[in-house]
Amino acid sequence: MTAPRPSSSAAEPGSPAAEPQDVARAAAERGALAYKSCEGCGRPHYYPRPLCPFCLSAATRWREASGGGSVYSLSIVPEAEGARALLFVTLDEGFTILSAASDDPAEAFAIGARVRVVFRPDGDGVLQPFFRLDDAGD
Amino acid sequence: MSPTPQAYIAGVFEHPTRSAPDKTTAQLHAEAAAGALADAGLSLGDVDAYFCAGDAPGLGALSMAEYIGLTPRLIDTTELGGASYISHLNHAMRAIAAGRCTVALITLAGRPRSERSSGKAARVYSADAPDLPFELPFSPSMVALYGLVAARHMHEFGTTSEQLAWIKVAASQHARHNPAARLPDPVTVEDVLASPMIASPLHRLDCCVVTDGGGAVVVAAEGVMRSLDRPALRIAGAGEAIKHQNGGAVDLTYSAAARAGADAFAEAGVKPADVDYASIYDSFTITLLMQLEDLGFCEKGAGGRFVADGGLISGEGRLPVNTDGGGLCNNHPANRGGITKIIEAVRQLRGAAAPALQVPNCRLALVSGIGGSLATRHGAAVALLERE
Ligand SMILES: [Zn+2]
Repeated sequence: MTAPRPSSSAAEPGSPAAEPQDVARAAAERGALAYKSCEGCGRPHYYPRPLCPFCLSAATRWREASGGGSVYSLSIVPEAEGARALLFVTLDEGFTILSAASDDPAEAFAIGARVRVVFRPDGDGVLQPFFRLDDAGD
Repeated sequence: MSPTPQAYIAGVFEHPTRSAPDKTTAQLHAEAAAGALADAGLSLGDVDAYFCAGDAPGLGALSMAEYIGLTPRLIDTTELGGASYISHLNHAMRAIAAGRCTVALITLAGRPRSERSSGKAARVYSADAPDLPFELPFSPSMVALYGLVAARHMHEFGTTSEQLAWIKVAASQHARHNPAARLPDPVTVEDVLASPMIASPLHRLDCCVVTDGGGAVVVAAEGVMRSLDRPALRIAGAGEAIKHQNGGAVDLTYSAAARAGADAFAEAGVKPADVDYASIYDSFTITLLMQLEDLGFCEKGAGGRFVADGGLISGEGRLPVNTDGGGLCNNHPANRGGITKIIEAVRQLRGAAAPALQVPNCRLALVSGIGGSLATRHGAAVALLERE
């Protein structure tokens, strides 16, 4: 397991009203996958929230994931413009997130495959954490 | 101490339409209400409790009570997607036990076929859902979310597409006896596997039908029930639960039906082997398979072998399931079929199912529903119904 790296100060919102997605978006623009970890119970969680869903502590801190993980499950959706793969990816930090395949063909993904985060624009042009196959190997 | 007042299903109605371009959803609610009250032999003025889910038109129960003409003293709009109506059954039972009402009406209606709403697009229930910014960018269609669950089940337990296809085959063998079924023609395992892949490993024929329509159920206290000319079908036990992604500790191998079912069986004092007939929610083939395991009809991971080779076909299989043809072939009104599950269980307990599919001396029926998405967040509701 990769130890979670403390987030840079840039990931901490200047305004307490910043929504989790705004913080995640700012991190994505720096190439980082932001998540939250709880200082009360020590557990990471995703999607990120102000209060820890395991103990309701408000002492949650932003962290940046290493970006590596493995496919927990996938569903390939044939579409006219090419197949898409919806993914659950279990990150090396131990939590699982809903995402989708990018860069590599959808059919190349399989449960258990090593993957790495890549930030690609969604339909609104917002950078989101997709995953490509981790051909660097492990 | 007097015994706890018991609750009974007095009336049911499944709207016969499967396509209603010329009717409003509110009208379908009212027609379903009228049908169920007529079936029970009760009238509008007898109703003192009203239940609908969060998808009812307008401001839910407020708008529907006015439209239908109800003046309830107990109102419940619990929203668990397609499981809502079985949850309503549970809550109606407890309200009757507490003496808070004597006749509860539950209605469902919707027009997804006319409104061209299906499981192939991501569904947004409200723009401020906290999960939305972290999920919607990846276009999670309802079918693909259930595909994630099916793919993991196959990976963990060796479940096959052929086994899932048998669930559709059983539904189609039942639907051919139902003149109102949306898909009345039998299909084979090969037909299911040859149908287009919608979201792997789920084919088109692994999916339920998209139908307009509705249904209603009337629950009555014992005193009312005894005055009616209907068999007394007691709600013997019920349970409900929610399961979600648990902050990222995702486990797709089980559903909330495990907890809901355990509570229902414990309350009724029966076990899966006692069940004569089961109505099990079948938005997709995997939905039904998951509940079979979680309710204890077979071991976890053994669902594929349980359903294979006609395991769910009435009269020849291991457990008669969804003898109306289910959501897979008969009806899935409003993209949420929970109420049709109750209705077919009542037909079986009354001895009023299709003659070829009627379970002999059917005395104990299970009703199970799943609402929302198995992969992300869903509700489950289970009830056990007993003919006295
Ligand atoms: Zn905590």
